[in-house]
Amino acid sequence: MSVLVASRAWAARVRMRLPAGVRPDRYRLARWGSLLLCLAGWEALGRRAAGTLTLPPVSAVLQALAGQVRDGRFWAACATTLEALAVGLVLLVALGIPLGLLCGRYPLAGRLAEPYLGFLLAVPASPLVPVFVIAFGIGLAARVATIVAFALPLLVLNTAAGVRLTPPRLVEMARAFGAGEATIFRRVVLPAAMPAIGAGLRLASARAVVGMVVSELIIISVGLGRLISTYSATFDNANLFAVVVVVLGIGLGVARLMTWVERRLAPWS
Amino acid sequence: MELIPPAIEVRQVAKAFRGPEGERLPVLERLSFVVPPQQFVAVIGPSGCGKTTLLRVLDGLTPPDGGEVRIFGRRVTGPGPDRAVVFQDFALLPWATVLENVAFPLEIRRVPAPERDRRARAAIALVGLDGFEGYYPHALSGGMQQRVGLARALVVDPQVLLLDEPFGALDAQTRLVLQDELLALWQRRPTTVVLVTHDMAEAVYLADRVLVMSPRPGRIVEEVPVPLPRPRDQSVRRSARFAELVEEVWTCLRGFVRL
Repeated sequence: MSVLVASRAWAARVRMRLPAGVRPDRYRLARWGSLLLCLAGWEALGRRAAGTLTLPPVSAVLQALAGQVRDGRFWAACATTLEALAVGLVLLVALGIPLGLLCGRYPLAGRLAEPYLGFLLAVPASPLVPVFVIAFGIGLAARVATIVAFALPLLVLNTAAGVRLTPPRLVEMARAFGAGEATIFRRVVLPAAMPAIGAGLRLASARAVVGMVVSELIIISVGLGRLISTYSATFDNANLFAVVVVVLGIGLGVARLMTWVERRLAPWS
Repeated sequence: MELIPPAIEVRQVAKAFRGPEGERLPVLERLSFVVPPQQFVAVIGPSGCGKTTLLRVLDGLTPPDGGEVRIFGRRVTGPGPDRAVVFQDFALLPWATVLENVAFPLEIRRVPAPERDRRARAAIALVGLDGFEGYYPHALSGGMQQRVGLARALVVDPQVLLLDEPFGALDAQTRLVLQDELLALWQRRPTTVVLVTHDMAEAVYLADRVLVMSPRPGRIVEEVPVPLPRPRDQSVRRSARFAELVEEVWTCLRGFVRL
């Protein structure tokens, strides 16, 4: 814990610096402005395409969304989806960080695990969903497994890379003063790897959201994925887009959460 | 018959590493010397002669292939609380404050927090960094960082202080200032010191004895006693005796220098 406290204090001094003379609220203005512009463009395009089945205007999507939130089935779908995501993220952290530390610190572990993780990262994980269904049934477990399979390699590989970036001189210094492996891990390797762990967590959780959607779209038709399938099968585009917007919102929410976690883990990054 | 064992006894130490093709690269061979307690010894040699390896063997980080090292009669098998190292590149933890860095060796030894704090603050004051306890290394100059490195070594009250080119990464002026500070600290609380350096004037200025190493495989081939009176200050550098001693070291070394 003292590592975290120390690094937080350290970070306060090194916090991200903006170019001189640029105030952060100017960036905020640009960001919200561009979002509004996009929405306006979308609305205009949607209205021109009125009557066709392509793009519903924003206003129609918002209307559909307002209808959704009054529907109990929508909230049940959200709960189903978020349950898998939450369990998946917890498992991701609980497995990924220790595994990454192990792979980074002990070459044997790295050599053993990393080819498989690299493989998982390189190939689309979607074909694995049916495998998980065979292994775990069509319940929560298979969806959680998909989420973890999508996200885990990124977190493990990033964490391991962070561990390998530990300056060997610092390890040697600690050893010269008689530090054992546990102290070296806690006071040298972990803080050195912290920025990479934080970055890995952010990247991996974004992939977790992808895994969440994919698992529900392929085979295991539940939650928001099922709503997406249903609405697209019935060409109910306004409702379809409303659900997609909700999924995007979940993705953004997870990204925000992970940025917050990253700040707490490695505030100097 | 000696009653007090020498502070450092290096007997017939040999060390070889494996080259890229698996060939044996002898770094140290039949290396021997003895340092009595509280003596300040400088080891000098051409670059790549294995000075740093020697220091690692003394500290116990690298086990020798042959021979042995004894510190006050006890055989070295690994790093021990009787020794402390100061590193050329300071090797400070960037995520720890000055206070935490200096207290780190005590933390490793599980010294209780209040005592750790007290002793670390005392060591920081000793090197003149009081007021900087809460700073992070990146906010300090090189000279100040090496003072932290020195304080971190002194905080454990070592019987043997191992200095691995401690001023090598500093500019010339800072180097002179820190040399004097090191001498003053050593004068106040004498310990046995082994200084590895490639700066001949530094070796003569600081040490009681200069040991000259041969190129790889390194051995001690010459020994230059430095009978300059203590306490010394930088004005001694202008004396004829000082120039002669540096010349004597250079005579030993010159044959080894290859470009």
